[in-house]
Amino acid sequence: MVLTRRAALGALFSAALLGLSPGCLPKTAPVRAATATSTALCVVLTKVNDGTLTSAPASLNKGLEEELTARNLTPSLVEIDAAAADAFRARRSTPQRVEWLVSKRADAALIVLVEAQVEYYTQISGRFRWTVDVRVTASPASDLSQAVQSEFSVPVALQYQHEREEVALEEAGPVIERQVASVLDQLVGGLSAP
Amino acid sequence: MSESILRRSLIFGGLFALSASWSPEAIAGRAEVGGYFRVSARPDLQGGNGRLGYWNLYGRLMNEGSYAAVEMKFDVLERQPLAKDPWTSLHLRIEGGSVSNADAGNGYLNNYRVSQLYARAGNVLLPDVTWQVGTLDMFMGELGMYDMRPAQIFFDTVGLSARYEKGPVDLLLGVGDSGYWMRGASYHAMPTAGGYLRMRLGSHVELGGGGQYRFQPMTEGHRFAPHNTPGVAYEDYLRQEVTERWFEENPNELRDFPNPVPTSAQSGQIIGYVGFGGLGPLRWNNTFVRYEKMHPQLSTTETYEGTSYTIYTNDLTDERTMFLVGNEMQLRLIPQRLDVVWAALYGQHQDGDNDIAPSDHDRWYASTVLRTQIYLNDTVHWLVESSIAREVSLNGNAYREHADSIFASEGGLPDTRGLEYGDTDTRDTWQGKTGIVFNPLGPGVYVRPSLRLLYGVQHSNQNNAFGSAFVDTQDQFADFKSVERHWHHLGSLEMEAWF
Repeated sequence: MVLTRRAALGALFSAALLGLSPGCLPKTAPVRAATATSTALCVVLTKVNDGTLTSAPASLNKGLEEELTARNLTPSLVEIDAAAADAFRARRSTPQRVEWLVSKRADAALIVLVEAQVEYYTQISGRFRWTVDVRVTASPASDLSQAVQSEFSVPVALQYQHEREEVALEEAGPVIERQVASVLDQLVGGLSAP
Repeated sequence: MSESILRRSLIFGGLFALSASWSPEAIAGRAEVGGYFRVSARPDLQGGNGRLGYWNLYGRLMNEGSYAAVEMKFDVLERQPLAKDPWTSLHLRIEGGSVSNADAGNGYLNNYRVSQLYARAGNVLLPDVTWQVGTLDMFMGELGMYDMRPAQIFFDTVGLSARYEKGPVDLLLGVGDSGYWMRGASYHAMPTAGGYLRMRLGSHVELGGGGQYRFQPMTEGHRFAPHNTPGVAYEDYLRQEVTERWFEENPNELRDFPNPVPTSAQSGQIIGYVGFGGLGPLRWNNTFVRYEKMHPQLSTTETYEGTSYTIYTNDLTDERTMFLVGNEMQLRLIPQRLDVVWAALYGQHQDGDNDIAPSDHDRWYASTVLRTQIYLNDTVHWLVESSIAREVSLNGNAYREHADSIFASEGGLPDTRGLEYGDTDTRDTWQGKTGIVFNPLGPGVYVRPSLRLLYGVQHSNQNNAFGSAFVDTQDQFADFKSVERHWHHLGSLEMEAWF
C-alpha cells in the first residue's frame, strides 16, 4: 500500500512537470515588415443590447498594439469618440468603415479594423454567457484588394452579473489578439513576398 | 493617370471586391451553441468513488463529479444592434451529470434532461423589456467556491417573465406553474409568481432583492392535491408504522382506514444580494441571502398485511424552512501573479414538525474556503485551497465516528428502536487541495478552460466520510468488515470549461 501511494505521488509529480512544460515551449516568431510601417488601428465595440458604439477596453488595445509592434508595424490608435461613433453608425458595412478610416488616416500605410459585437446569450452553470462576434480586417491603405480578413466568435462566461460588454470583450482579448496576429502575419507575409 | 487617381481607383476597386466577398449582416437563422463541461479521472486508492468528501460544503473542487450542459440558441429574428426592430431567439438546454468512463452512469442519456426550453423576445410592446416564455430559471450570481446560487428564483417554473433592463435598473417579474418540477408524475397545478429588483449604485455597489411564491390550491377529489390523513402521529410516520398502529387500535375496522382531508399548500423564498468591488485589490464581493419555506410533501405509502395505504402528509411536512447566507470575495493581490478567493457559508434548516429524529431538515452548517492561485507563468498556475466545515444535527446523533458505532447509537448504548443514527451529532471536516492548473487563456481563478492536476486530502471525525461501497454492518458472519478511516487522499486529473 505504501509503495502504491508513493507510485501515485511520483506519477502526480511527473505529470506536474509535464504540465509545466507547455508554458515553456518557444513561440513562433511573428512575420515582420521589412521597414517600420505606420498602421491605423481601430477597435470598435458595438453593444447589441442598446446599440452603443464605443472604444475597446485599454487592455485589449494595448495587447493589439503589442502584436502590431512585434511585426514592425507602428500603431496609431483611432479612438471611437462621438464623431467616430456617428461615422460608424452611419457606415454599417465593413468596406464603408475601412474607407472612412483610410480617409481619416491618410498617413497610415496599413489599416487594421477590429469590429466586435457583444451580445448576451444566457445564464449557464453559474455563469453569464456572452458571445463576442469579431471581424478583423487588415489591408494596405492604398490597395484594399489585398485585404485579409477573419471572422470568428468567442464565447465568454462572465463570473458576475454586473459585468457587461466591455468585460466580455476584455475576456475575449487573448483570442482576438491571436486572430489579429494571424491576420497580420498573412498580410505582412504577403506584402513582403518576392 | 495621376498617382492620386490611381490610388483612389485601387481603393474603390478593393472596396468593390470587399463588398462582393463579405456578406451583409445576417438578420435571421443564426444558430449558436454554448455550454459547460466538467470531467475528471480520480482513481481512489482508498476505495472511494472519486470524490474527496460528501458534498460541496467543503468547496466544489474535487467534491463534484462529471457534468455536461449544452444550450442551443437559434435566432428566429436576430437582434439588430443599431435598430430597434423586434427580435426573437429560441433556447434549448440539455444537461446532466454523467460522462462515459468517468462515473457510474457511464454517460448514458438517461442521466440527462431537457432542463431549459424558452423563447426570448425584445422590442415588443415595451422598450427595454425582454419577454421570456417557457422555463424561467434566473439567478443573481453564484458562490463559485461552493457552486451554489442562493439568490435564484423560478428554477422550478415554466411560464412567462418580463425583464426590464435600463441603466442601473434590472427588474424581473414572472408568473407560471411549478407543479411538474415539484410533483412530477403526481402533478397538480402550483401557480407561481415572483420577481426581483437589482440596482447598481454607482460603479462599486449593487443591491438586489426578490422572491417567489407558490400556491397549491385545495382540489377535492384529486389524489395528487394536498391532503392530510387524520390522526397520524409524527413518530409513526417516521417509522412507517401508521397503518400498523391504526389497525392495532381499530382491529374491527379493517376497511375504514381514515380518508384524506383536502387542504391547500404554499411555499416560497425570499432572496437578497449585496455586491461591491473595484476597490484596490478587491475585484468583487458577493453576499447572498435566502430564506425558503419548503413546499410540503404530498404523501408516503405503507404496506400492511399485503395492502398498500397512502398516508397524506401535508401537515406533517409543512414547517420546513431553510436560511442560507453566503459570501465570496475575490482579491487580486499581486496582478498577474497572485489571486485569492475567500468564501464562507452558513445554513440552517428547521423542521417544526419533527422534534424527535435527525434529518437534513433539522441541522445547521458553516464552512469557509480559501483558494490561492499563483501564476507561475501566463498559462501554468499553482493552486492551493483549504476548507473547514462543521455540520450539526439539531435532533440528535446523525453521524458515525467509528466503525463500530452502530453499537453506540444513543448515549453510548445500542437501541434498535432508536431514531438517532451514529454516535455524534457533529461532523467536522477539513480539506486541503493543491496542484497545477493549465489555463490556455491566461491568469484568473475563474478563467476557463482549466486543465488541472490536483491532490486533495480530507480529515473528518466521521468514519469513511466519502462516497464508497464500504460495508457498514458489524454482522460477525459478514464477508466484509467495516474499517476505521478518517483521512482520505485523492488525486485528480480534470478539465472544466464554459464555451
